[in-house]
Amino acid sequence: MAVVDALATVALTVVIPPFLIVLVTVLVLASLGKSLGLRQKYVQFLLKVFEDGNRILVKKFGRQRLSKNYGKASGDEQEEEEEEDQVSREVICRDKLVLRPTLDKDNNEGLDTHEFELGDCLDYIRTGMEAIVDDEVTKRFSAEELTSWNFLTRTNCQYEFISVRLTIFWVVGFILRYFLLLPLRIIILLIGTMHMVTSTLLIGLLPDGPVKRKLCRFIFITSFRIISRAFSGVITYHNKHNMPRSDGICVANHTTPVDCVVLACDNGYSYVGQRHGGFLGIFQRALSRASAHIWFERSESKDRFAVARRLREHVEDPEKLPILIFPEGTCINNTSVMQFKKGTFEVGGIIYPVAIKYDPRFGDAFWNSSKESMLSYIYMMMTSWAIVCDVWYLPPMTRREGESSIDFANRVKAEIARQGGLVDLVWDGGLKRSAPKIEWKQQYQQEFSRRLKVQNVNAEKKEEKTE
Amino acid sequence: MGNKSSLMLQEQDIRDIQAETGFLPSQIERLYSRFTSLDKGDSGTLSREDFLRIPELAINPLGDRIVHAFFKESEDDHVNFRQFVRVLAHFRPIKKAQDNKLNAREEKLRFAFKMYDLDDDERISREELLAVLHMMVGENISDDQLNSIAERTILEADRDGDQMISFEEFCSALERTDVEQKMSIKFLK
Repeated sequence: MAVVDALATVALTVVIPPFLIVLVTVLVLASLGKSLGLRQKYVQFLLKVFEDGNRILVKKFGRQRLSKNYGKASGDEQEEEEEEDQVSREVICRDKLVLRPTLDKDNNEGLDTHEFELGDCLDYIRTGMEAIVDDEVTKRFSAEELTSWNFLTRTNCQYEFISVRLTIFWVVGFILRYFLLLPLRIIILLIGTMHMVTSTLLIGLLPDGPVKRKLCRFIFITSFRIISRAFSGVITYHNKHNMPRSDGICVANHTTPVDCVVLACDNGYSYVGQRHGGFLGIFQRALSRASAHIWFERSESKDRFAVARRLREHVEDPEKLPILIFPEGTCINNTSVMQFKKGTFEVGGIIYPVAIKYDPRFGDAFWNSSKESMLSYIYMMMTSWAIVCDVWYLPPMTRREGESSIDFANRVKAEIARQGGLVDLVWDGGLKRSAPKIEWKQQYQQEFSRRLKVQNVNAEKKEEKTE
Repeated sequence: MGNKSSLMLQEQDIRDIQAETGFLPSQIERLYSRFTSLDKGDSGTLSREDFLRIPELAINPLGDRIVHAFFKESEDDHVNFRQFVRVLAHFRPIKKAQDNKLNAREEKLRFAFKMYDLDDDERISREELLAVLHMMVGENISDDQLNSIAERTILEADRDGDQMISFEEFCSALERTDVEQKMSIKFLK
C-alpha cells in the first residue's frame, strides 16, 4: 500500500499544475461561450477508436448484431442509419394488429359483423404473444440497447478481456475517464453550481426590470455553459432562427434533467416542472431566486389548475423569459416520444417545438428515475465519454381553428418525433409508474362486440349504455 | 443494460434450447435479453406481475389467459427462461424443412384450446366458454345473448353429444381456419 501511496503523491505533484491550467482554460472558455473545437476532435477520435474496437469484436464473433456503420453523419443520412439500427435491434416483425390506447374507429362504415367462432380469439392470442416478445412501451423506460460496444463496462458483456488490444483500449479509457476527466468534471460542476447559486442570490436582490432580465439571462447561460462542460457536452444547435421567444412556450422531448442544461446553454428559459429535492432542488431554488419559474407537486391535482393559470399569466407577460415545458411528464430513453399532456396546449400562444436527440454511443443520457438516484445518475454521466447531442429548433406552431388541444399536442409531437428521428407513440409516459387504464381494454371489448352478430339485435342500445 | 445478458446464457444452454425449440442462437439471445428486461426483480424468473407490466398485454382482453399459458408447467408461479422460450416456440412459423413439433399446427391449436379450457380437463364446458366470451366482450353484450352464443357454438362443435367441446371437436371446428398463419409470429433472424 505504501508504494501505491508514494506513487500517487508523485503522480499528483506532476499532474496538478497542468490540471489546474486545463481547468481554468475550460472555465474561461465556457463562460465566454467559446470553444477550441477540442471536444469535437475528442468525439471524432472516440468514434475512430470505437470503430476499431468493433472490428475486433466482429472478427471474434462474426455476429451480425455487432456490426454497424460508424461515422457521425448529419441530416438525412443519419436518420437512415438509425432506421437500419432499429430493424436490427427488433426481435420480431409485428403484425398490423397492435393494441394501443386509442383505437382507430374511422372505418365503422361497412362494418362486417359475423357470428362468433372459436377461432376469434386467435388474433388476440398472437398479438398478446407478440407484446410479450417485444412491445412498444416497456423498452422505452430502460436504457437503450447499443448495437456495438463503446468501451464502457456497464454496456458490455466482458468484452474488455477478449483481446489484448481491446484490454489496452479499455484500461486507457478507464484511466482517462476516472482519473482525469472525473476529478476535472466534479470541480467544474461544483464551480458551476456555486456560480449559479451565488449569482442568482445577488440578482435576486435587484429590482425587477429590463436590467435584471438581461443579467438573469446572461448568468443562466454562463452557469449552464460551465455545467455542460462537466459532462463534456458537445451540443449542436440547428435552425437557430427558430429559437423560442418570450411570447410562447417551448416544448421539448424529455430524456433527462440534463435537457434543461442542454437548452439553457443557448437561451434563457423559465422552467415548469415537478418540484424535486436533493441536488436538483438546489438548482430549482437557485433559479427561482433570480427569475420566475413554476414548480409543482406531481401528486397534487389542485396544483394543476394553479399551474395552468400561472402559465397563461407568464405567456402574456412579454418581460419574462420563454417557458420551457417537457409535456411528456417523464423521462423516456430517447428512442421515442410519448403522449404529450394536453395542459400545455390549452394555454394558447405560440408553441416552439424543440427536438433533442442524444448520441447514445458516448454515454447513455437517459435518467431512469425509478431505478437510480440523481447523484448516481450524475456520477454515471461524469464517468461516461461525453454527452453528444443535437438540438433542432422547429418552426413555431399555433393551434388551428377548431383543433382540439389533444390534436394540437399530437401534431406538435409528430413534428418533434420526425425531426429527432424518434418513434411517435400514443402511449402515456405515466405507464412508467402506473398501470394502464381499464378503459383501454374496454375499448377493445367494445370493438369486438360491435363485430359480433347477436340474436335479437339490440347491441346499439347496449353500447350507448356503456359509453 | 441489454447486452450484458447474453453472457449469462451459456453456449450449452443455447444449443439445448435450439435443439428443443428450433430457435436460432441469435434469436435465443435476443429473447433472453427480453426475458431479463421483463424480470424486474432480477430473480431469473418471471411472475404474473412481470408479464402484466407490459401495457399492451394488460389491455388485451385475453391478457390474463395468455399469461396463464406460461404458468402451466411451473409449480411455484414463476417462469424460468426455458419455460418462457418453450411457450414462445409454439408461435414459430411452420416451415417444411424444419422438423419440430412445438410449432406444429396441432400444438398451435392446443394452445388456443387451452385458452378456453379454464380447468384443464381437456374439455370446454358451456360455463368456460361463457367466461372467455365475457373476457372478450366485457359488458357490451347481455348475459342472455352471450348464453345463446355459447349454446349455439357448443351445439355446432359438439359431435358426441356431451354438451362439451373436446380437443378433437375443437380441431374440426377450426378445420378451415388458417391457424398456421394466425398463430405465427415473424421472429427476425
